[in-house]
Amino acid sequence: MASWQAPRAGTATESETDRETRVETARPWNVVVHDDPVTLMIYVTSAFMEVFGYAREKAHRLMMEVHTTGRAVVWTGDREQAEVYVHKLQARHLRVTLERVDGG
Amino acid sequence: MNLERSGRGELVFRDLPRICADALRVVPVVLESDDPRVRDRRLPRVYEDDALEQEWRRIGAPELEHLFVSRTELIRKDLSALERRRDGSFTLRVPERHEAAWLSGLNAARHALFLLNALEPADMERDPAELDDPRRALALLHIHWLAYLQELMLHAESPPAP
Repeated sequence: MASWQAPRAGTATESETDRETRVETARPWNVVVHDDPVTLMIYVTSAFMEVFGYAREKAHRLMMEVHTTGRAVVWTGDREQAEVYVHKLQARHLRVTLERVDGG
Repeated sequence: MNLERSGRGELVFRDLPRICADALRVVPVVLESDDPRVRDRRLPRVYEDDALEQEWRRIGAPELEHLFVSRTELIRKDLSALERRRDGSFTLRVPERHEAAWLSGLNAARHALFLLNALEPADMERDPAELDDPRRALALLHIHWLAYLQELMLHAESPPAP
Protein backbone atom coordinates (compact mmCIF):
# COMPACT_ATOMS: atom_id res chain seq x y z
CA MET A 1 0.00 0.00 0.00
CA ALA A 2 1.01 3.56 -0.54
CA SER A 3 2.28 5.27 2.52
CA TRP A 4 1.20 8.66 3.75
CA GLN A 5 3.22 10.88 6.03
CA ALA A 6 1.98 13.75 8.07
CA PRO A 7 3.25 17.09 6.79
CA ARG A 8 6.33 18.26 8.57
CA ALA A 9 6.88 21.76 9.83
CA GLY A 10 8.28 24.00 7.10
CA THR A 11 11.97 24.80 7.05
CA ALA A 12 13.85 27.71 5.71
CA THR A 13 15.53 25.53 3.07
CA GLU A 14 12.34 23.88 1.77
CA SER A 15 11.97 24.29 -1.97
CA GLU A 16 8.79 25.26 -3.80
CA THR A 17 8.57 21.73 -5.27
CA ASP A 18 8.88 20.19 -1.82
CA ARG A 19 6.07 22.38 -0.57
CA GLU A 20 3.83 21.48 -3.52
CA THR A 21 4.54 17.77 -3.05
CA ARG A 22 3.82 18.01 0.66
CA VAL A 23 0.48 19.75 0.06
CA GLU A 24 -0.49 17.16 -2.60
CA THR A 25 0.41 14.28 -0.29
CA ALA A 26 -1.41 15.74 2.68
CA ARG A 27 -4.62 16.44 0.78
CA PRO A 28 -7.28 13.92 1.85
CA TRP A 29 -8.91 11.37 -0.41
CA ASN A 30 -12.55 10.48 -0.91
CA VAL A 31 -13.62 6.84 -1.01
CA VAL A 32 -16.39 6.88 -3.62
CA VAL A 33 -18.81 3.98 -4.06
CA HIS A 34 -20.59 3.73 -7.41
CA ASP A 35 -23.96 2.24 -8.21
CA ASP A 36 -24.19 -1.01 -10.14
CA PRO A 37 -27.26 -2.84 -11.39
CA VAL A 38 -26.46 -6.18 -9.73
CA THR A 39 -25.46 -5.71 -6.08
CA LEU A 40 -28.34 -5.89 -3.61
CA MET A 41 -29.14 -2.73 -1.66
CA ILE A 42 -29.28 -4.62 1.63
CA TYR A 43 -25.83 -6.06 0.89
CA VAL A 44 -24.38 -2.57 0.32
CA THR A 45 -25.84 -1.35 3.63
CA SER A 46 -24.41 -4.38 5.39
CA ALA A 47 -20.99 -3.79 3.78
CA PHE A 48 -20.90 -0.15 4.97
CA MET A 49 -21.73 -1.26 8.49
CA GLU A 50 -19.03 -3.93 8.50
CA VAL A 51 -16.26 -2.00 6.75
CA PHE A 52 -16.68 1.43 8.35
CA GLY A 53 -18.55 0.50 11.53
CA TYR A 54 -21.38 2.86 10.57
CA ALA A 55 -24.74 2.65 12.33
CA ARG A 56 -27.50 1.09 10.22
CA GLU A 57 -29.18 4.48 9.63
CA LYS A 58 -26.02 6.09 8.25
CA ALA A 59 -25.14 3.03 6.18
CA HIS A 60 -28.67 2.96 4.74
CA ARG A 61 -28.57 6.69 3.93
CA LEU A 62 -25.26 6.33 2.07
CA MET A 63 -26.55 3.26 0.22
CA MET A 64 -29.61 5.24 -0.89
CA GLU A 65 -27.36 8.08 -2.07
CA VAL A 66 -25.40 5.58 -4.18
CA HIS A 67 -28.63 4.13 -5.53
CA THR A 68 -30.35 7.41 -6.37
CA THR A 69 -27.45 9.58 -7.53
CA GLY A 70 -25.12 6.88 -8.88
CA ARG A 71 -22.34 7.49 -6.36
CA ALA A 72 -21.59 8.57 -2.80
CA VAL A 73 -18.53 9.67 -0.88
CA VAL A 74 -18.56 7.17 1.95
CA TRP A 75 -15.36 8.17 3.74
CA THR A 76 -12.71 10.90 3.54
CA GLY A 77 -9.24 10.83 4.98
CA ASP A 78 -5.62 9.91 4.40
CA ARG A 79 -4.67 7.80 1.41
CA GLU A 80 -3.31 4.81 3.30
CA GLN A 81 -6.50 4.27 5.27
CA ALA A 82 -8.59 5.01 2.16
CA GLU A 83 -6.80 2.19 0.34
CA VAL A 84 -7.51 -0.18 3.22
CA TYR A 85 -11.22 0.62 2.82
CA VAL A 86 -11.03 0.21 -0.97
CA HIS A 87 -9.49 -3.21 -0.45
CA LYS A 88 -12.32 -4.24 1.87
CA LEU A 89 -15.03 -2.90 -0.44
CA GLN A 90 -13.49 -4.53 -3.53
CA ALA A 91 -13.33 -7.80 -1.62
CA ARG A 92 -17.13 -7.50 -1.43
CA HIS A 93 -17.34 -6.59 -5.15
CA LEU A 94 -18.55 -3.06 -4.69
CA ARG A 95 -17.45 -0.57 -7.36
CA VAL A 96 -15.19 1.90 -5.60
CA THR A 97 -12.75 4.62 -6.63
CA LEU A 98 -10.42 7.01 -4.82
CA GLU A 99 -10.60 10.72 -5.63
CA ARG A 100 -8.42 13.42 -4.21
CA VAL A 101 -10.43 16.04 -2.37
CA ASP A 102 -10.41 19.30 -4.31
CA GLY A 103 -8.09 21.90 -2.84
CA GLY A 104 -9.51 25.10 -1.58
CA MET B 1 -36.44 -24.52 1.03
CA ASN B 2 -35.79 -23.10 4.47
CA LEU B 3 -32.85 -21.70 6.38
CA GLU B 4 -32.06 -22.13 10.05
CA ARG B 5 -29.13 -21.59 12.38
CA SER B 6 -27.92 -24.83 13.94
CA GLY B 7 -26.78 -25.14 17.55
CA ARG B 8 -23.19 -25.16 16.27
CA GLY B 9 -23.73 -21.80 14.59
CA GLU B 10 -23.89 -23.13 11.02
CA LEU B 11 -26.40 -21.78 8.53
CA VAL B 12 -28.35 -24.80 7.28
CA PHE B 13 -30.28 -24.60 4.01
CA ARG B 14 -32.75 -27.52 3.98
CA ASP B 15 -35.05 -28.95 1.30
CA LEU B 16 -33.05 -27.54 -1.60
CA PRO B 17 -34.54 -28.91 -4.82
CA ARG B 18 -32.03 -30.53 -7.16
CA ILE B 19 -32.23 -27.65 -9.65
CA CYS B 20 -31.26 -25.23 -6.87
CA ALA B 21 -28.38 -27.44 -5.76
CA ASP B 22 -27.18 -27.50 -9.38
CA ALA B 23 -27.48 -23.70 -9.56
CA LEU B 24 -25.26 -23.46 -6.48
CA ARG B 25 -22.65 -25.78 -8.01
CA VAL B 26 -22.23 -23.24 -10.82
CA VAL B 27 -21.08 -20.56 -8.34
CA PRO B 28 -17.39 -21.62 -8.05
CA VAL B 29 -17.27 -22.23 -11.80
CA VAL B 30 -18.29 -18.68 -12.70
CA LEU B 31 -16.09 -17.27 -9.93
CA GLU B 32 -13.10 -18.82 -11.70
CA SER B 33 -14.09 -17.46 -15.11
CA ASP B 34 -11.15 -15.94 -16.99
CA ASP B 35 -13.46 -14.01 -19.30
CA PRO B 36 -11.97 -10.51 -19.60
CA ARG B 37 -15.29 -8.87 -18.66
CA VAL B 38 -15.41 -10.85 -15.41
CA ARG B 39 -11.71 -10.28 -14.72
CA ASP B 40 -12.10 -6.52 -15.20
CA ARG B 41 -15.12 -6.42 -12.89
CA ARG B 42 -13.22 -8.39 -10.25
CA LEU B 43 -10.54 -5.72 -10.05
CA PRO B 44 -11.95 -2.50 -11.47
CA ARG B 45 -9.90 0.66 -11.80
CA VAL B 46 -9.48 2.60 -8.53
CA TYR B 47 -7.45 5.67 -9.52
CA GLU B 48 -7.88 8.02 -12.45
CA ASP B 49 -4.13 8.67 -12.41
CA ASP B 50 -2.25 5.94 -14.32
CA ALA B 51 0.83 5.91 -12.06
CA LEU B 52 -1.26 5.60 -8.89
CA GLU B 53 -3.39 2.90 -10.51
CA GLN B 54 -0.28 0.92 -11.49
CA GLU B 55 1.06 1.17 -7.96
CA TRP B 56 -2.30 0.04 -6.55
CA ARG B 57 -2.42 -2.94 -8.91
CA ARG B 58 1.15 -3.92 -8.08
CA ILE B 59 0.57 -3.90 -4.34
CA GLY B 60 -3.15 -4.36 -3.72
CA ALA B 61 -4.30 -6.62 -6.54
CA PRO B 62 -2.30 -9.79 -5.71
CA GLU B 63 -3.71 -9.85 -2.18
CA LEU B 64 -7.26 -9.50 -3.51
CA GLU B 65 -6.68 -12.21 -6.11
CA HIS B 66 -5.44 -14.51 -3.35
CA LEU B 67 -8.52 -13.69 -1.27
CA PHE B 68 -10.81 -14.50 -4.20
CA VAL B 69 -9.12 -17.87 -4.75
CA SER B 70 -9.39 -18.77 -1.05
CA ARG B 71 -13.05 -17.77 -1.03
CA THR B 72 -13.83 -19.96 -4.02
CA GLU B 73 -12.08 -22.90 -2.35
CA LEU B 74 -14.21 -22.47 0.79
CA ILE B 75 -17.42 -22.37 -1.25
CA ARG B 76 -16.38 -25.41 -3.27
CA LYS B 77 -15.57 -27.28 -0.05
CA ASP B 78 -19.02 -26.56 1.42
CA LEU B 79 -20.70 -27.57 -1.85
CA SER B 80 -18.78 -30.83 -1.94
CA ALA B 81 -20.52 -31.68 1.35
CA LEU B 82 -24.04 -31.10 -0.01
CA GLU B 83 -26.16 -33.82 1.59
CA ARG B 84 -28.68 -35.62 -0.59
CA ARG B 85 -31.77 -36.74 1.33
CA ARG B 86 -34.02 -39.68 0.61
CA ASP B 87 -36.73 -37.39 -0.83
CA GLY B 88 -34.21 -36.16 -3.43
CA SER B 89 -33.73 -32.73 -1.82
CA PHE B 90 -30.35 -31.42 -0.64
CA THR B 91 -29.04 -29.80 2.53
CA LEU B 92 -26.24 -27.22 2.48
CA ARG B 93 -24.34 -26.37 5.64
CA VAL B 94 -22.38 -23.10 5.77
CA PRO B 95 -20.08 -22.84 8.80
CA GLU B 96 -20.22 -19.46 10.53
CA ARG B 97 -16.60 -18.70 9.56
CA HIS B 98 -17.50 -19.20 5.87
CA GLU B 99 -20.50 -16.85 5.82
CA ALA B 100 -18.60 -13.74 4.68
CA ALA B 101 -16.99 -15.74 1.88
CA TRP B 102 -20.41 -16.99 0.76
CA LEU B 103 -22.00 -13.53 0.84
CA SER B 104 -19.28 -11.89 -1.23
CA GLY B 105 -18.95 -14.98 -3.44
CA LEU B 106 -22.66 -14.90 -4.26
CA ASN B 107 -22.36 -11.22 -5.14
CA ALA B 108 -19.37 -11.91 -7.39
CA ALA B 109 -21.15 -14.85 -9.03
CA ARG B 110 -24.20 -12.69 -9.76
CA HIS B 111 -21.93 -10.11 -11.43
CA ALA B 112 -20.19 -12.82 -13.44
CA LEU B 113 -23.50 -14.29 -14.67
CA PHE B 114 -24.69 -10.80 -15.59
CA LEU B 115 -21.56 -10.13 -17.67
CA LEU B 116 -21.14 -13.59 -19.20
CA ASN B 117 -24.72 -13.50 -20.49
CA ALA B 118 -24.57 -9.92 -21.78
CA LEU B 119 -27.48 -8.80 -19.63
CA GLU B 120 -28.34 -5.11 -19.49
CA PRO B 121 -29.07 -3.05 -16.35
CA ALA B 122 -32.73 -2.75 -17.44
CA ASP B 123 -32.98 -6.56 -17.57
CA MET B 124 -32.53 -6.68 -13.80
CA GLU B 125 -35.98 -5.10 -13.39
CA ARG B 126 -37.63 -7.48 -15.85
CA ASP B 127 -39.35 -10.80 -15.41
CA PRO B 128 -37.02 -13.50 -16.84
CA ALA B 129 -39.95 -14.78 -18.90
CA GLU B 130 -39.95 -11.47 -20.80
CA LEU B 131 -36.51 -12.13 -22.28
CA ASP B 132 -36.54 -13.64 -25.77
CA ASP B 133 -33.28 -15.56 -25.38
CA PRO B 134 -33.81 -18.60 -23.07
CA ARG B 135 -30.13 -18.66 -22.10
CA ARG B 136 -30.26 -15.05 -20.89
CA ALA B 137 -33.63 -15.66 -19.22
CA LEU B 138 -32.16 -18.59 -17.31
CA ALA B 139 -29.13 -16.50 -16.31
CA LEU B 140 -31.44 -13.77 -14.98
CA LEU B 141 -33.39 -16.34 -12.99
CA HIS B 142 -30.11 -17.69 -11.65
CA ILE B 143 -29.01 -14.18 -10.58
CA HIS B 144 -32.31 -13.63 -8.74
CA TRP B 145 -32.06 -17.02 -7.05
CA LEU B 146 -28.58 -16.22 -5.73
CA ALA B 147 -29.90 -12.82 -4.54
CA TYR B 148 -32.61 -14.64 -2.62
CA LEU B 149 -29.96 -16.72 -0.85
CA GLN B 150 -27.99 -13.57 -0.02
CA GLU B 151 -31.10 -11.97 1.47
CA LEU B 152 -31.86 -15.05 3.54
CA MET B 153 -28.31 -15.08 4.88
CA LEU B 154 -28.36 -11.37 5.71
CA HIS B 155 -31.65 -11.75 7.56
CA ALA B 156 -30.62 -14.93 9.40
CA GLU B 157 -30.41 -14.67 13.14
CA SER B 158 -26.96 -14.02 14.55
CA PRO B 159 -24.88 -17.00 15.65
CA PRO B 160 -24.95 -17.86 19.35
CA ALA B 161 -22.41 -16.08 21.50
CA PRO B 162 -19.27 -18.19 22.11
